[in-house]
Amino acid sequence: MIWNIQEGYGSFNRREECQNSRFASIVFYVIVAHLIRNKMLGLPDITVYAVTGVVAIIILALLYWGLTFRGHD
Amino acid sequence: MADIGTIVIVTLYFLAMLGIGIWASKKIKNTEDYLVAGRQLGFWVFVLLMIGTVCSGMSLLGVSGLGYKAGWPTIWEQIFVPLSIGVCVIFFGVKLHNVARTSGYVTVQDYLAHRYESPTALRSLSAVAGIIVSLIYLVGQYTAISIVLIWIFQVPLWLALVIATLVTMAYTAIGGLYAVAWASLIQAIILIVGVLVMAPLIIWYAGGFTHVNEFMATINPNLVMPWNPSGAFALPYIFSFAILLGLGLACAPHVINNVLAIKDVKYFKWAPIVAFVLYGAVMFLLKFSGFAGLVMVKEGVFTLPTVANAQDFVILYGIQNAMPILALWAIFAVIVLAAVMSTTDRLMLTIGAMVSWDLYKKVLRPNADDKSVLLLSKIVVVLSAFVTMVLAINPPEMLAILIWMGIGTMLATFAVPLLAGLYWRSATRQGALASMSLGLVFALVFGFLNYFKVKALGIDFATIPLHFSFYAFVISIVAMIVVSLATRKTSEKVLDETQTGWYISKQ
Repeated sequence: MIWNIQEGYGSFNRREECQNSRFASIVFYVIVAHLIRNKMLGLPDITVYAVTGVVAIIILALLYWGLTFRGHD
Repeated sequence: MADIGTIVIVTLYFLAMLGIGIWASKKIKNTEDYLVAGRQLGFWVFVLLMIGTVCSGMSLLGVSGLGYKAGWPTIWEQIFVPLSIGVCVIFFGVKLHNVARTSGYVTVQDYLAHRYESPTALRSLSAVAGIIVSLIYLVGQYTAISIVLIWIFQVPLWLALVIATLVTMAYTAIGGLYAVAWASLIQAIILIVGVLVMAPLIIWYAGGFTHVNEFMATINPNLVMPWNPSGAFALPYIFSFAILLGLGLACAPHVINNVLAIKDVKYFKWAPIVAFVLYGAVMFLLKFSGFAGLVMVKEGVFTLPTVANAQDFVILYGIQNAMPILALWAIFAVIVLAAVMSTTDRLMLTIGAMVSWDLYKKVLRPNADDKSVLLLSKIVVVLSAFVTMVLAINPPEMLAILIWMGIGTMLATFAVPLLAGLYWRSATRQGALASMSLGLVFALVFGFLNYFKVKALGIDFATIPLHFSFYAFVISIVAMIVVSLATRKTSEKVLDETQTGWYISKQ
């Protein structure tokens, strides 16, 4: 899927993009593997999901605010 | 006594703050310069001023202390406190700043007096309520400063309080908001960099993050759950906690007044997320340091002092063990002082503004010249420092509880009149007066009953399922709605001038 998305970015250096994506994927899988190996950092699943879920929702909401706020009339 | 290196580093920090005060004093030409920094704050000064104002004594000592005592169920504090900056900017700041551009507000009381057509009654009530809640909050801050100074210098409490009072008071009194803002910039940078470097060291020293969590689970499985099954930090309590911190801090006078001082409204665009991410990272690390401290205490790495508020010392002892280098302790001491002083100075200035501007200039002596108002502001900053110092001589059992009491009173007193004023055109002067006065009275009464664990009317106030301030907040909402619907509406002209309505910003 990552490769398909990159088809649209003709102006970028495709090789560099692929390497970046591959690097990002490796980092992602290393982090996930680390989490699994460490049993979610020694925490119950519900703690990890509840805390990261709320933080993610807040960050998305504040990002939305930043992208849409245009100042006063 | 501390070693000479520690004394030198802490003294240098104090001198730097005084230097900022002296530099800032040269920019003060009138009361507006003193109280709103000439409305010239830039993006980073504003963001770090907001972080510095919200980041209080609780942030370093109380947060880790609470983490030590109650574990992961208290983690929500680390989410809702940083969120309060975004709530303040988005729901209060944008509209207040917009109206203030044309109306020239210096304090949030100026807005309330204008919106509710109550130049005397609501302004006075709001100022008096603001002074009371700021003093409660300020006692918590001075207690935190004293904890740090006692730890650094091994001096008695009274001496620690005198040192803290003199330094903070001096630069705030002479430099006003310019000094507070620039001192907060320095203090917030010290805080953020310091915590990002030092907190991971404490966690690493305790055996790493995973080990800390696993060990906590062996002490008590509830310590690693996101909420407790009942009582404090059960789900209903966390809901009230979210309102308390997210909204209560956002409408606190010493926080909300900052939005009147920015140079350009475009800073509101990214300030919420920048503040949330920066401050959130700091808060999470501090909480994790408290968890690490618990593990270290249980494993016998160190023992806490035998004082009533022992858990508030956990991060200090943690860093002392994780980094057995004297110079680093001193730097950490400066970090803690920076966090505490950044709120203390803003609170004192806010009290100064409410007395000199809202009560003296706008109510008692409307013809008072600018010079006398400015002088009175400085005198009140000095007086508030000394009054708080006396009140802080007997520190509370737990720092976090006192500071929440201050925030809870702010929530019950200011949130409803401000929100209703900004968004509900039917909110009236009588409604605001009823809402504010009942919110204040019930917050103080419920806070007293809860703190002293009173059992009355068949209710055990020590074990009520929600934070005490939430009940007062609900009373404040009901009072606003009922009284507003029964009384005459504010004039359409004023409602239009104050941009009252169900929108944040007309775009």
